[in-house]
Amino acid sequence: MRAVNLKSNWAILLALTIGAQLPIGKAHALPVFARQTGQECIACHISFPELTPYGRYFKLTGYTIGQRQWVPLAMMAQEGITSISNNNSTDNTGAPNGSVINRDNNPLFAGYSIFLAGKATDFLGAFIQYTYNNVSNAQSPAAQLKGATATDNTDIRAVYKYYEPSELELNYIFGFTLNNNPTVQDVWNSTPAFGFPFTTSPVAPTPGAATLIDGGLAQQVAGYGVYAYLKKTLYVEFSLYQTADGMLSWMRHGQDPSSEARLQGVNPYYRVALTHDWGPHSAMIGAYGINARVYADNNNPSAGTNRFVDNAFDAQYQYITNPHVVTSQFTFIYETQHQDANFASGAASNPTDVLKTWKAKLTYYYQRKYGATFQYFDTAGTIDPLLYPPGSDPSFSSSINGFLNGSPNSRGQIYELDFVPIQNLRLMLQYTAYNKFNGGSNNYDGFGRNASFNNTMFLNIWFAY
Amino acid sequence: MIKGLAVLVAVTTVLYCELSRGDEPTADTKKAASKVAVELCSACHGPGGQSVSPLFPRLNGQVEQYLVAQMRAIKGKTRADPEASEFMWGMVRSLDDSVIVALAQYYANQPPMHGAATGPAALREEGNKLFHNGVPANKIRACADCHGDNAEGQYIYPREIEGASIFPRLAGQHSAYLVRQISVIQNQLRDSPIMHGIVRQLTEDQKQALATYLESR
Repeated sequence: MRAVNLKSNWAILLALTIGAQLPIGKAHALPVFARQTGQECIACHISFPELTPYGRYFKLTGYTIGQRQWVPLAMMAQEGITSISNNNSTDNTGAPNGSVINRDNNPLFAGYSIFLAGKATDFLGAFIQYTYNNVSNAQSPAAQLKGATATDNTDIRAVYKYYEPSELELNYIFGFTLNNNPTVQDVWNSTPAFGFPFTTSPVAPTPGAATLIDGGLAQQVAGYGVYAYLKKTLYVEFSLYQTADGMLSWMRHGQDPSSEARLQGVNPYYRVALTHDWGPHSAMIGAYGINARVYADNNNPSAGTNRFVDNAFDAQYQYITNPHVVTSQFTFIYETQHQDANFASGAASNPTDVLKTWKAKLTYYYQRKYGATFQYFDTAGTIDPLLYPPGSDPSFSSSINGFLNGSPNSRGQIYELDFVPIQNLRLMLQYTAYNKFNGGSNNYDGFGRNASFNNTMFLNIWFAY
Repeated sequence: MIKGLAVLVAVTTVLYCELSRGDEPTADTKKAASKVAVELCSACHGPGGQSVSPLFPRLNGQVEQYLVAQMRAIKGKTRADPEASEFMWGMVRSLDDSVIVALAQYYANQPPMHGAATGPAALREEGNKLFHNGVPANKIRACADCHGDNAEGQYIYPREIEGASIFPRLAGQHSAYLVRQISVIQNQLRDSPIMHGIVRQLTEDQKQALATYLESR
């Protein structure tokens, strides 16, 4: 096996990071929305993808501000290095089983995305992302990485703007959204789709339990709904989600049919938010949720469904001045899992389980160039040994994904430093620390692996054009 | 001959005024400008130009000719301070000159901008003195000489003061925005030779005092 000089790889990427701090001329190359509006990225973003009040207005009005581009394309790519605290795994017999991740401490091209996005007419716009994921089988014992392409976040909008002749601002925005990920259409960064962390290591282990609305349906469903933003104060939305089948199947193109989430019928989603801007401050409090029936076995629909009822509370605060920006997001998701099919088939120990997640994040940016973020996350729920099996379960090829005593609980912190030397490029150093992972702090997998073994240092370059 | 020369000067003056001001917008152009103001400009500059965020200047009750001059400078990219290029170049690029004039009239005709009295009264009083008296020792002339005794701004063409005839309203403007503009003028990030000469010796405290006073007017 080729000897790897660990220090040289980090040194190379750090050198690139430091090199990027040398004076660089102002970028004239702009991603597609910036090309459409003629504005710099900071007009709409704190730091992509987090939105400013104007950025939220741009999205709510259907991505239609500015001049339609004849080539409405953009791209982004990411490259990084991941290092986890302990990269040694064991199999379900306790024997050494190679590395947890097969590209630890090595530069790794994570993938790229192509965007078809922007204004179609004064009333119609879209955000369509198609992604090549270079890391679709990241964990050992895979011999090598295998990439795959798939439809990513998609949001197509039609909008109607209304105001009385005597009014001086746009007080009524009505819209229709067609999208493939609950909360991708949301304009606040406290909801899962565009919530922090905005990028993570493509190879590091992550906790096994998450609520359905927290990415569980992403790019597997088609949602259609209507929304209204009234007097810059009240936002209301109602949408329905179904499996992206038939003429909407392109919205889940590239997903694995055997493992993707498939919904029964149409499933309701709601979102309400109250907002207020004053001086340099912008604040929101809101709620969102989904009630979804998910098939237990995609190959056997007669096996029935499990119903997930997610209700969430969220809040956001932004303080935006020149040169200081402070932002904060919070969300609490409460999920009731009606394990109708799983309990009947013996895949769950309880007919009903609860899973709760909360996240709180604080960000500071100086001159929109130098940023620091801290987030605390915590997931906890009902003990269910069949739903959250231990690492010794034969269904796991490696022990690291096992759960301790049937507990889904995980919690930890994320620390992140960002540098944006030019608007197209973000350099990031992110550290994720786990106090608890899959139910335990110590020996969560039954073979001596501690939560902290999965602590991850991730150095990343994110380029967009 | 003198009479003929006088007629020539008068005609030239009238023509120059008309060329500088631009043709009076039509009713359709005014309607289009109003639509732009409500659907686009208000997103940052607030309803009728009374912006909420200090990142974006208030426009309501601003001197019409000043707004025309600034929008033309932004469109021509001769105004190149960072915020102008980052936010405004794209906004104005697709506006034709008649809409620019109509937009300027729209905002000039709004009820004048107003701000809050913030900061210590002593700071505002210092700003008051600076505004009306300047700093003669540093050859900083009084702002009121050009911007008006009440900081209301003025357009005094064909008369000029130090080569300029358009002076923006400052009363009621965001103090943070005023401080920032003085700073970019001091650093010559915004091309304003006359203003640069006047403000280049203002200290940070003096800028803050002036701006705090002006927002409270």
